Amino acid sequence: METLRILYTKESYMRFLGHLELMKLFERVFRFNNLPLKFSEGFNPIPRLTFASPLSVGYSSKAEIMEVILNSEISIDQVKNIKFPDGIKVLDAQFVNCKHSLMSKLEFAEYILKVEYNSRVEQLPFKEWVETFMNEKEIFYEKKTKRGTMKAVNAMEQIHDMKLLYNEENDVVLRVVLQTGSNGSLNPEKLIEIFGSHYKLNQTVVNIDVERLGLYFTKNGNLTNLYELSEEE
Amino acid sequence: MKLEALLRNVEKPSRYIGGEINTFQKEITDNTIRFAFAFPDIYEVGMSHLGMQIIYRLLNEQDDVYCERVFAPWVDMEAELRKNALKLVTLETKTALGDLNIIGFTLQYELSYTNILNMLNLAGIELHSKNRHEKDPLIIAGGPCVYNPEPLADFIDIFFIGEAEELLLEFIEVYKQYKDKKISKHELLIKAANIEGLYVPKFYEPEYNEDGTMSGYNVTENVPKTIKKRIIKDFDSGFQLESMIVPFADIVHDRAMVEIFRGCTKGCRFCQAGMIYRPVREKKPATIMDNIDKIMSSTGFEEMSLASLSTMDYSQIGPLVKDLVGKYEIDNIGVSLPSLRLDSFSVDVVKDIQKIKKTGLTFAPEAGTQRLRDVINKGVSEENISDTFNSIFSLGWHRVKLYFMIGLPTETTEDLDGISEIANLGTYTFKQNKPEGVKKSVQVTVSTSCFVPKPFTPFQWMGQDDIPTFRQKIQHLRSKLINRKVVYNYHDPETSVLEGVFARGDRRIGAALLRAYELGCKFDGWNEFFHYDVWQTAFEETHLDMSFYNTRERAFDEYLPWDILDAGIDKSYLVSEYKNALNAEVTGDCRDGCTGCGVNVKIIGGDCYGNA
Repeated sequence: METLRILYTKESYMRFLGHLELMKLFERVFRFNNLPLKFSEGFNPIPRLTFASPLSVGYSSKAEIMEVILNSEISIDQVKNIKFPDGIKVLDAQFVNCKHSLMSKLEFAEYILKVEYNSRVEQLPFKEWVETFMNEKEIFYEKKTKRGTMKAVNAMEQIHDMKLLYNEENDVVLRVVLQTGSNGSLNPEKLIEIFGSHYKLNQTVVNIDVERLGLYFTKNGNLTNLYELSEEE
Repeated sequence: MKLEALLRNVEKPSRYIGGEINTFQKEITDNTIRFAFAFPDIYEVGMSHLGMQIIYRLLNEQDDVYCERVFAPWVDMEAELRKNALKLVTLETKTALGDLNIIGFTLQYELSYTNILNMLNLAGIELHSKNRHEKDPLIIAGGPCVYNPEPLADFIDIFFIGEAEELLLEFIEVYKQYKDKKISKHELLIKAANIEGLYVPKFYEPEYNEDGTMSGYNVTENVPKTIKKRIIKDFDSGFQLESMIVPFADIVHDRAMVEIFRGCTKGCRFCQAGMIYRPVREKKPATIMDNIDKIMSSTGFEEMSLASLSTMDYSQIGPLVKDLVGKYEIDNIGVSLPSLRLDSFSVDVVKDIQKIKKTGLTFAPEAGTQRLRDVINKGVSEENISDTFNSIFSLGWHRVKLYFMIGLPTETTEDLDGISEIANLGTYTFKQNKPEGVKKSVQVTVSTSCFVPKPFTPFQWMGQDDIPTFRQKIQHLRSKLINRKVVYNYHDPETSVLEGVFARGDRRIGAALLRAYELGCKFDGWNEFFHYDVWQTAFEETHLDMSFYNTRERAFDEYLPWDILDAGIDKSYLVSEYKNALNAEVTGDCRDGCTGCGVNVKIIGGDCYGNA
C-alpha cells in the first residue's frame, strides 16, 4: 500500500468545479490512466482519495494537494504526465510515508485577493490601513458553529500576514496568509468585509478574485509547505 | 461583463464551463462548418443522452466540421445572461450561437419545445424560419419527437427523420456547397429536401377541411411527396461510439453507455419507440465488448449500462452480462441494466450483477389485468409476475418498483383494481419467500403515468382521457392502494394532456406554443415551472382548442398531420393492430414470425433478421 501525494493547480474555468465534482474527476482520470487504485473494503468499494483542503467554487489555486492510496508504486514521471482538463495540471508528485493526514496538519493558506469596489479607491491610504490593521490585537466577528449557534471569533488571531500589493482605480490587491484547517478558518471574503467595516469604507465590494498560492503547516515556528509534510512532524 | 464573472452568481457553474475529458478543441478555419448540438434542457439531462454523445463524436471526427454543445441555461443563468445583455454561447469555445453555421436541436420530449424557443431567443436568433436570412444559422432538429414535426414546423428549417448518423454526413456534404457560396439558401433547402429522410416543412403547406381536420399538404417545390425515415442498416459495422465525454456535474445517467441493439420486436401497441425504431438490429457481442473496452479505457467511468429499448431481449444477454461482470469486476466497474423484463430469466441475469448489494428492482407490467395487457400487447402474463416476485424475494431483494399506465384504451375500474392486486401480491409473496436473516420489510412502489397516444402507433386515432377522468382514476387508485407496504406515486395529468396536444398536433398549434413562450412558459417538463393555466390562456388567445388534439377520437380515414412521413410501418398494419387491441387479441413477438408491419419491404427491402 503506497500513498501518492500530488501537487496540482486548479485554474481558469476549472475553478468553477465543485469539490465533489473535482473528486469524481480525479477518480476517473486515475482509473483510465490505469493507476493501481486501492479500494475500500465493503459493499460499495471506493478508491481512497483525500484532499488537503476543499477550495471554494470560483477560487483558483496554484498549489492544491491531494493524496491517493495505491496498491503499488508507479513511476513519478507517469503521474506528472497525467493529462487533466485545461486548468488542472500536476506540478509535482511523490510517494510519502507519512501517518499524518494532510487535513489534520494544515494550519494556514496563502492567497492573493483582488478586490474590486464599485468606485475609485486609489486615493485611499490602504498601505497605512493594512499596517495599523495588523497591529490590532482584537477584532471580533460572529461565526456560526457546527451546532448552528453563533460565537465570537477574534479575527486577528487568524490573520498570520497581510500585505498590500497595490491599489489603483477601483481595485485593491492584497497578499494574505490566513488560518485554515481543523483549528478554525478565516474566509478571505470575510476578511475583506471585516477590513472594510473597520475603516468604514463607503465603497462596496463588487467582486473578489481569490487565488490560493500555498498551504502550510508550522515547523519549528516557521511556515512550511504542506506538500513537504513527512513522518517526523 | 464576462461569462466568468457571471459564473460566480449561479448555482452549479460547471454546467457552463466545458472542457470535460474527451471534448474537442479544434482549429477553426474559414472552411470549418461550425455546428452546435443543442439540447433543450439542462446539462445534467442533456449529458445523459446517448444520442448527443454519438453525434458529437461522429461530427468531430470529420475534418471540416466542429461540433460544440449548448444546453438550456438554468433560470439563474438565464437571468444573469439577460441582465448583462450576453448571448447564449457554446461550452467548447464560448461562441454565440448566432455566429455558428448550424444549430441542431434534439427533440426528446414535447414539453421541451418552449426551451427551444427560449434558447433561440437567448442567442438573438429569430424564432420563425421565414424571418431568418442567409447570415443566420440553419436550425435543424432530430430525435423521436420529429415523427410529428408539425408543431415546430414554423421554427425549424429542416427535420431529420430517423437515425441521423449517415443522414447528417450526407447533409454536411450539401451544406459545404452552400458554405462555399456555390448555392443559395433556397437551393440548399431544395437539395436537402431531396435527400431521403430530410423534411423541409416550408415546401409543404398544410391544407384543412372545414371541420378543422387536415386534408393533406400542398407540395410547393420539386421535392418528394412523402419523407421516408432513415436507418443504419448494418448497426454492427456502422459508426461505433468508442469514447464519451466524461461530465463534470452529477448528471442523471452518470455512466458509460453502450447501445447493444436498436429497434424492438415486442410490438407493444402503446409504445412509439417500438414502432419507429424498427427493424431490430443487434450488435455482435464481440463488437459490444470492443466498444466497451475502448470507452472504459478513455473515460474512467465506474459503471456501464447496456442501452436499448428492451435490453433483456438481446439474443445473447446472459453470456454478455457474464463476460462483462467477469472482465470488469476486478476493477470495481459495475454493470447496470436499464430495464428488466418481468420473468425469472431477467432475475437470473440481474442476480449475477447485484451479487452483494441488493438495490431495488424496477419492472413495468404497464396494466393491472391480463385483459388490458393483451389490449396493449404487453407480453407479460400473471404467471410471469408471480414467478418474478417469487424469485426476487427469495433471492433477498426487498424493494420493487412497478410502473403502470392509466388511461389505456378500454380501461375499466377492474383494470385499476388489478394494479392494487399486483402490488398486494408483491407484499404477500415477500412474506412467503423471505429468506432467513432478512430483517428488512418489503416495499412495493407503484408509479402510474397518464397514457399519451403517439403517432405511428396503433393508438394514434384514439381519444386521450381528459383531466377529470385521469383525476378520478388516480383518486380511485389512492383509495385502493392502502396497504402500508405499498407506496403510490403518480404523475399529474396536466403535463400528459399537454404532451398529448403536441404529440398529435398540427402546424397551427405552433402559434399557441409561441404565445405560451411569450407568456413565460419554459422548462414545462419541470413541475415547479409548469403552469397549465398559462397554457390554457395561450390556446384561448390563439383560438385553438386543446381537446381537438388530445381527447378527440379520429376516424381511420382522417388525414393525420404526420401522414407526410413514412416511418416504414403500413397504416393498414396499425389499423389492424388497433382492432386487435379492442378485441384483446395479442400479436406475437416478430422474432418468432413476421407480423407484417411493412418495415421489411419499405425500409430494408428484405428480411428483418439478417443477423439477429
